Amino acid sequence: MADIAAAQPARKRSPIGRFFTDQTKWTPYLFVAPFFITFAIFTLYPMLRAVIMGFQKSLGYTGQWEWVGFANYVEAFTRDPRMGTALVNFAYFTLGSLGTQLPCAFLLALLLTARALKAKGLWRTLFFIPSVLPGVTMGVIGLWFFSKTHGFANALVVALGGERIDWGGFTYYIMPQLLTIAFWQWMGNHAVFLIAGMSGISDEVIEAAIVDGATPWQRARHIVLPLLKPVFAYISITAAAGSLMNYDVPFVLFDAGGGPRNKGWFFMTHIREMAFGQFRMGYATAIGWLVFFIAIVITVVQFRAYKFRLGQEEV
Amino acid sequence: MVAPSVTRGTTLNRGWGLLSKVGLFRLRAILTTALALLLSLIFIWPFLCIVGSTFNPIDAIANPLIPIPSRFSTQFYELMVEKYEMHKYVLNSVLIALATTVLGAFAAALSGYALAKLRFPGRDLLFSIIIGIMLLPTTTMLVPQFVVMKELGLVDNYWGLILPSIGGGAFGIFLMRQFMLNIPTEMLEAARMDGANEFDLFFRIVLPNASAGVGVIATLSLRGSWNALLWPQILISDVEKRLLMPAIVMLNQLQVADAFALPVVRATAILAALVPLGLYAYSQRYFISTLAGAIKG
Repeated sequence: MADIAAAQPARKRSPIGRFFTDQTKWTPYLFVAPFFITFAIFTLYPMLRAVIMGFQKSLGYTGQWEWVGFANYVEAFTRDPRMGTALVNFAYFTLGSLGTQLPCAFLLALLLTARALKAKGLWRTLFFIPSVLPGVTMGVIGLWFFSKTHGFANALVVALGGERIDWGGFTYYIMPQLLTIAFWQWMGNHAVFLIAGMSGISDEVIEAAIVDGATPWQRARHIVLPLLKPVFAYISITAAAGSLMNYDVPFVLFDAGGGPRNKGWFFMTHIREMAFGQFRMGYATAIGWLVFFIAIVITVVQFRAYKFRLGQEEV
Repeated sequence: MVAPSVTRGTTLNRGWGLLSKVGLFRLRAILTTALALLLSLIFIWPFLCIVGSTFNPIDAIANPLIPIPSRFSTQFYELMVEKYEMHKYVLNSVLIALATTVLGAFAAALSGYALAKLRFPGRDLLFSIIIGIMLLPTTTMLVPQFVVMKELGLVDNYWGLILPSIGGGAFGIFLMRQFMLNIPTEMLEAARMDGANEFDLFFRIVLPNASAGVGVIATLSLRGSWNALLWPQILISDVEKRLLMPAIVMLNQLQVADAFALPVVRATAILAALVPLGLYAYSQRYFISTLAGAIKG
């Protein structure tokens, strides 16, 4: 930090001496130091090491490494079917989550901002609650909900006159299960963010539309919806990043595996299995880089698509 | 004779009009509120049912659609402590969550304050770097992070869980900065004129004025630390040092061999959820508006 100040052109005598005697000069750097120091040690340094580790093969757990060139990346693209599975599952899970949650969240946000509604805060809290629960709790709830013998879903199916379904046993029930759990956890959260975005829309805009004779639905569709674009951008960026890192719920649901035919196999499951199940640290690092770049590409594409900016309202 | 009756007629009409308007509004209030109640009941119902199911005894034949246990029993909660010793893991998790939160929130407040209110060369560059870091998917670097931790001797060591978060985190700093922007600069200038040094300024003026922000950061950090599964799961393998979430998952894997494991897992998972629930209930006044404010910006 000090050399930034040292690099300043010397105006009067001994700028370095002045830097240390004038408290207002060095305290800002001291205040931001903890973050940059811990970031350097625990994130930046591992990332630099990871550049090399991605081209290496770890020999067991001993810290010995062997250079293998692009072999890890070649394997990930050509000889590792579970990578493709993880990519397909990620795409399915992300699009499925956003496709089900966003429309419902928007409708819920309209309901919860209706002028006539009583006890607004209560409903918001109730719908927001699942999003603060631990992923492990969500997984355990999902396990119970879709249990074949004593679960909620099958009790409902039986009460409606159907036959018990083996939710965990069939490939085509796996993703719907995960999407149901994700819906339950995140839809209300999205709605609350949309509500917060709605409160930022000026009353004048809405009143002008009322004067022009727009029906409530037209107002929602043509005025509120377009103005909520930044909030939709934020939600879809965080949701896509979140499902790329999806780990807790599938881990609990499928007992560290991927369920039948790996329909619940995700990137983080794969990285963990490669590194700590098969002790292939180098290969797991290479996969980490691939996922890293997928995440960056998705974020950049969405930023572009929504023309979204962060923290730009400088004071 | 004609004129007054007309006047009376119009006031009467106006009165009826007003009444029907109020009536319509009241009807809509009842309808929308009933709809919200119905939807939130559907939403919360399964959660109530699983909570109820944890109070059944093991041999109960219970209907999962009803949140009331068939015979009330705290069997699973007793076993949780007596047989599976979950309280040890709860204590471990509390220790880690408190340590990371107190240190992290303090660091985030310091950095956020410096970036929002102090002028120094390189400030905007540092802030841009923090924004960039915030968007980096660093979770994917968990394997190299583990390797470095191993070399530093921090595997199976609580410092390995605590040290990485004492910098406050990029998101925490970003949020904290947005809060600190609201502190009037004149107040800081006045205190400087009175001879307060930079540290007095931070502890006496900035921190007390940013308590809402610190509360939000602390809530997020505590929740993140408490809910985390993957990192504590791979970093800590010593049974005595295990945290709660990995412990629940480990017990869940015993469910085939042990008939009590699964119901106890349910009870523990519900109990574990009380921490973030309580936190949220406590800090919700600031929570949503803050997060939303950060996005809008």
